[in-house]
Amino acid sequence: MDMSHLALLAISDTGFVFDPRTGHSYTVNATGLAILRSLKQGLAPLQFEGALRESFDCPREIITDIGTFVNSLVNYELLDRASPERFA
Amino acid sequence: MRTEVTVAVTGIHLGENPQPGPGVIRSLRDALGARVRIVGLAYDALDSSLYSPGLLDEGFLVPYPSAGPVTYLKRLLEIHKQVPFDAIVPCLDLELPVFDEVKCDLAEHGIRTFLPRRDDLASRAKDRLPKLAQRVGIPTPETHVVVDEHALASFGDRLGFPYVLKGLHCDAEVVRSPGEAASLFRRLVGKWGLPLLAQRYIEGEEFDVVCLGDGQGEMPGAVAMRKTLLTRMGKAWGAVTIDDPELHDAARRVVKELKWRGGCEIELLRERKGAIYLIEVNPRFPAWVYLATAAGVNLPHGLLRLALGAPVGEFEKPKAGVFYVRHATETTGTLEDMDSLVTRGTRSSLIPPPMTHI
Repeated sequence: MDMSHLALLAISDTGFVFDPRTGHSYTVNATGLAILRSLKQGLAPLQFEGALRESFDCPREIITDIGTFVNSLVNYELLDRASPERFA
Repeated sequence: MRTEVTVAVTGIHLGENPQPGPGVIRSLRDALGARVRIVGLAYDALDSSLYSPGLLDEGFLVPYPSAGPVTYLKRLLEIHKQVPFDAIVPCLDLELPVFDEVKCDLAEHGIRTFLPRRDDLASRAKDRLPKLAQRVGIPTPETHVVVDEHALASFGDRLGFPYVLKGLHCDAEVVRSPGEAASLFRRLVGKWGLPLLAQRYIEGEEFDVVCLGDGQGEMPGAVAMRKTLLTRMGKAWGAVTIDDPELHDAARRVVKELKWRGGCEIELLRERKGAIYLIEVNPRFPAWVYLATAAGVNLPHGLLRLALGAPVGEFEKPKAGVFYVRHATETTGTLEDMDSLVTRGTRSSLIPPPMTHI
């Protein structure tokens, strides 16, 4: 997975995300924030899915939601388009 | 504190089409505080900075550059006699050919400038941009010169719709149909004259880079931004600084190729997930130059130092994520102010009355 763009993001504790390459900013909720931080650390969804379920009391299907979130990141060009295969 | 340097600045109207002068002045004041004295040169008695608290120390009317170099120089020297200034920073494109003509006379009177060379001014003109783009290895949208309305019909076929119709110096419209082409052509010609330029429309996001060139090919500082708020005219009303090495590199290549001397604004467009295109090179600081100062790169101060013969090292990397929103407010004057400006061409001791708050 190409993390180079994701690694540049400035992410605040409140979920405000700024992309210094484009000047676009985003907001994410607590779950999104946890996913973003995990991805930034280079973890694959299967590696952090368990911790996420524990922290947020999520159902097992959370992995599908993570996939949807990752696709959003691709659409916003924050992740390389080739990356989602990693989550298949 | 003693005034160390007096600087004259033009382009001081912050209207619908905001001029760079106020941003330049605020940057100089940030760097020098009470050590700088500012002489504002206005083209109209209603230029907004004349009445803006804390911006100017002195204000004068000057003739339009179209009056010619002799008239223009005469007026500058009249003002210089009243309020001697050490340097002048012209902030408008159309002034630059006149300043090029009078810069030696100004120097003889101790007035320093740091201006782009005449050849470089011509090289970055919109109609010659494709050649410049080729020289620096950055693509630019296909562009054709339009000299009459009848030729318009062919551009719809050659460029496809939409395409962009531009004035030679400024202003641009997106043409979406043959019907629109004729009316937009007339509007642009009525305002800016011929020729116009027809340019292929590229879908993407525009980024602007403000730069300072030292005239030797080096670029001591540059700041890139993305517009976040636009006026009807497409002017930035808000923007945020960004950190994109590719944009910075593109700007550096242009500055290096031209050995640009002074401030400039390089407009670039990035295709979605794709190439960077060179759109324009404006030969002076943009109206948003104070954003660069807020991001830690005070380019107007750098330009002043170069004009005064002082060294300018490489600026620190600008901070990304610094943004501005332009705030329009009313500045007020009195009948006496208008009288002074219209009949004597000056408004001295520019400390306007305090703003009245309700």
